[in-house]
Amino acid sequence: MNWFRLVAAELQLALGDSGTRLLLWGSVIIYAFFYPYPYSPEVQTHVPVVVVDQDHSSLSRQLIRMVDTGDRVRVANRASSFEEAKSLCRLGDVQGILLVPEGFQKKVLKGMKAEVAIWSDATSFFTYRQLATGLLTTIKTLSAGIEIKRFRATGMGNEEALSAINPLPLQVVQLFNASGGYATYVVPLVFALILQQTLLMGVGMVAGAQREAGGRQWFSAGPGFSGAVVMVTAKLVAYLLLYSGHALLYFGVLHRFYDFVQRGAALDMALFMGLFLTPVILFALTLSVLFRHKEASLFLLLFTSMPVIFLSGISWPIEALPVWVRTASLAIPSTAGIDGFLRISTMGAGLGDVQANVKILAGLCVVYFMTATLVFYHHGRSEREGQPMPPESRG
Amino acid sequence: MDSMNIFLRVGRRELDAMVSGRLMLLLSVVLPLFAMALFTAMFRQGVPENLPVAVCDMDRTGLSRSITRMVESTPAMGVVPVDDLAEGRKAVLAGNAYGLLVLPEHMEREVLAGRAPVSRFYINNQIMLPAGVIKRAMMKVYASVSAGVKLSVSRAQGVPDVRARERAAGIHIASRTLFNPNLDYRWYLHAAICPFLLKIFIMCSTAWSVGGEIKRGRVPMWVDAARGRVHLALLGKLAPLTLWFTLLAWAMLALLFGFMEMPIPERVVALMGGSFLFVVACQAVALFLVAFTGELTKAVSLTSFYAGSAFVFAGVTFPSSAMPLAARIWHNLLPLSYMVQLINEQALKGLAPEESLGALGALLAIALVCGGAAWVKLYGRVGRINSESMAAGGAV
Repeated sequence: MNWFRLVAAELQLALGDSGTRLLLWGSVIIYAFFYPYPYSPEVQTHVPVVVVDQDHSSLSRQLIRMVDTGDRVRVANRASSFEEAKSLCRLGDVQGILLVPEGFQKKVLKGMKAEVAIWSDATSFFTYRQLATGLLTTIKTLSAGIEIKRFRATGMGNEEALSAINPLPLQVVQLFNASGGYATYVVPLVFALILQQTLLMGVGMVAGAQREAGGRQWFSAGPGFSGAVVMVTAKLVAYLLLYSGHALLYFGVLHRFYDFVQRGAALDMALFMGLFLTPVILFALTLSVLFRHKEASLFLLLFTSMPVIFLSGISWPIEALPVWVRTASLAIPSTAGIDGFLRISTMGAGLGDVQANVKILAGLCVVYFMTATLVFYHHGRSEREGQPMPPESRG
Repeated sequence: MDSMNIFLRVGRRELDAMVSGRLMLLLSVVLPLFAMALFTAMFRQGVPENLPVAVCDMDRTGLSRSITRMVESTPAMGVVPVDDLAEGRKAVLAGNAYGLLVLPEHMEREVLAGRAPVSRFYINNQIMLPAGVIKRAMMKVYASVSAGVKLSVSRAQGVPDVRARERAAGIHIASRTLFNPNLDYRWYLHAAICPFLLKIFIMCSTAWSVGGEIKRGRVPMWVDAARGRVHLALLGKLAPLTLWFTLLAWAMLALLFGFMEMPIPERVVALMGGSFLFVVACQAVALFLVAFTGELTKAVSLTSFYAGSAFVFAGVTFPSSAMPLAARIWHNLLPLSYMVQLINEQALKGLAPEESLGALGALLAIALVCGGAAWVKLYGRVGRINSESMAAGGAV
């Protein structure tokens, strides 16, 4: 059969069946809106806290007002004792406690060391960050005002007093995601993940359906090794065409729709995406031989999205992984692919900056092309020799 | 044969299938254990250590070197020295460092002159988790260096130490962490990932166990094993999986308390009972999808959609209270949300078992509603398929 016909036939096969069409086409579109949706507010605002004011002074009231006016935290409740406040926290009504002890204002006025105490719920780290940052900045602002007054009382000028308060200031500059938006961080990562996972499961489902039907012509286009090569390249191109469209939708169109900043050069992104999708497809073709039922690839690969995310290095630092896990994870295209692609698209790196990833992906292309060809050669051969399928596993 | 014997007969058939069927064995035994072990290895450091930070020292004095040393000596950070900003930028872009600390020229001289030179710390906030860890650690380093400088300035002015400390402090903040004092990522992430993985495997196993029989036309054999009693056929099929996954869930709890050193509640009844309800609720939803889609591929696609997206909506990484309304509603329909809530309440917050009735009740409700509807529908369908095939068989 003509090679171009094989490409068209594969696309027809993949998009003709309702199950595989849902996976390779429908879910890609649905997930594009479903996954980003819960994160659409980007940050958490007005985390509820409870206040224990044991000082009842004008200064303590000022502090509480300042806490309440910020974006991060709101005063949702008041308690008369720490125990009462803590039990509100345990029941989940509030997520933080601000305690102003008796004598607070008096100590401040006398120029003595005054103290306030805060407790932040750390069952959710995202909330914890908002809470701790919100409470600490507010209190530090009040504190700085008081300190400036004290230093000025000793005869210092304004600027001198400012540097006396903090002689060694640190300015933290948050690059690439300045406001710490959760969607900005996680959605590009999830998009890249969806491309790989739906490909692995989708190609596996196409293969599993063929196996179930008992046919083996899916594996070979003709006799010998060249038949396998022809079939592998035709399928590679078919899925590459389909997923180039998906990638363009995700990173060309939807990125703008969601207002994510695109820092990478379009050409670098396109080239790297091709370099990522190619080994994914060849890997999927290699794995496809494992699935004897249409649904098996979904069953067996569904859980892998979680480890794959954590191995990409974008959500959990790779330095914290054991060396053997890090090494083994390089066999999955997304490990180098997601990291490299996000560095280009969201951080503005060039292909030169991510050359380590480029090399790994190029290596995977070669390896998985060979494994896919071998697998296809082997399976195509047993069909022509008229061998029956191995008996289906029972159970 | 009495009901108990029939039930045991079907159960034994199911266990045989679990052990001899490759797919079933993978879904219910091999992969759940593998996945949990893999994550245990990945989270061996509860708090990430030695995250590389590029330091560009343009001052090269005693002060800048001592800051560099202090950065190196924190458990969270490790120093990657760079010569200039361009090299530092490259290190951040290529992923060799999570941040770049720039110590400005003449820093020491300016400090001594009382002119507060600004150090800049650029962090790669697109990789959020390490960014947060190094930000906290670096702010701590600077707070302590700054306090030291303040003290020595006061000393130089002849202010007594105690007085100087007071003057330097302003309002002191005692900041404490509730329910996870070491900010241990295992308590927060690993403890939620394990039930998420379990949910996937419970739902997939259940869907394949029941849906696979229908798809492969083996309903007559299955019902025959139950002597034609469909209720017992269903019960005998589901119970071994319930039992096995409840044991796995308890093993998961042992992992949380043993390996991850989570605080063990005084009475574990809510957690153990809740794990059982979690398993039943997940099974009930899978059964519901098999019963009402009519075709296994559709049921499995919906299962993957429902179970696969659960982690996102469970409110672990991004809190559910901050989600838009429809996402909050979806959150409330997922057994995983309540299992995570239960672990937080019982283990981390130390609530009494009766204070977690909300989460337990929600799991029970999901189990009853989905399970009940699915049971009625499946009872009819399995019975019909069976009688149709018997009629066909009788005609031959």
